[in-house]
Amino acid sequence: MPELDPIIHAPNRLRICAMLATSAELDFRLLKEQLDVSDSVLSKQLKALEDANYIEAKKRSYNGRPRTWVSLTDLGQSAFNNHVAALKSIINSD
Amino acid sequence: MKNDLPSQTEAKDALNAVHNIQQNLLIEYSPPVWLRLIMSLSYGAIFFGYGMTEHENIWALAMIVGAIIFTLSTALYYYLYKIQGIRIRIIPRSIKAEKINAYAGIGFAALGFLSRFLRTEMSLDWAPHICAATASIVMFWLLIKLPTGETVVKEN
Repeated sequence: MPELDPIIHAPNRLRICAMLATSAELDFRLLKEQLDVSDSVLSKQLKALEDANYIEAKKRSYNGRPRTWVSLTDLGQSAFNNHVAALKSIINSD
Repeated sequence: MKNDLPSQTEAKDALNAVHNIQQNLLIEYSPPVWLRLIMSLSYGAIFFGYGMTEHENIWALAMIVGAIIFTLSTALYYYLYKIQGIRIRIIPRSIKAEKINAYAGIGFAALGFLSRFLRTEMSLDWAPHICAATASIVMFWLLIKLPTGETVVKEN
């Protein structure tokens, strides 16, 4: 039976992983808009995921302006899938 | 975590949050329908041109024009996503998306082959029309259902 991941279980981190799972990379700004949180709150959540090697953040400039692109690593994808499977198993348990 | 398992309601809420934010992201940031229509129709034109081409007749030009329009519209599709802050995945990572892409690849290859084979070898002149229309519809469906190449858009 898959187990819940304590790093991903926090609501904002779960939503970050869910969004990252839909694409190759997402912009920091887009994540911030979708979560409706401040830069510092989002940075803190991303740092926790980055420390666990669940995400990668890369800075690239676009039209002369720096943009931070965030992606889910293979480990992060696997952890997210396991976490979702664990949630489903809780729902399906008697 | 084992000692602090969420209740069924909490687990359901967490899964709903995952579903909602994914679907919201996929729908809110989707490129316009007209662009996806152009991509689909130009993709179908490639199949139609290929099926109708014979001794470098005018339909070879339709295939080339279709390929150029499809390439340009695909580039615009990627670009529109990128300026909004989304880099879409070319090679999918989820098993479901991999399966859909594999079936679509086999299907498109079969349509390409049949488009030409049925007309030239079996004299079925309508084959390129049907194959092109099918390719266009399938491509449009893929662009609606799998816009970022990874997660499927679901009906509410």
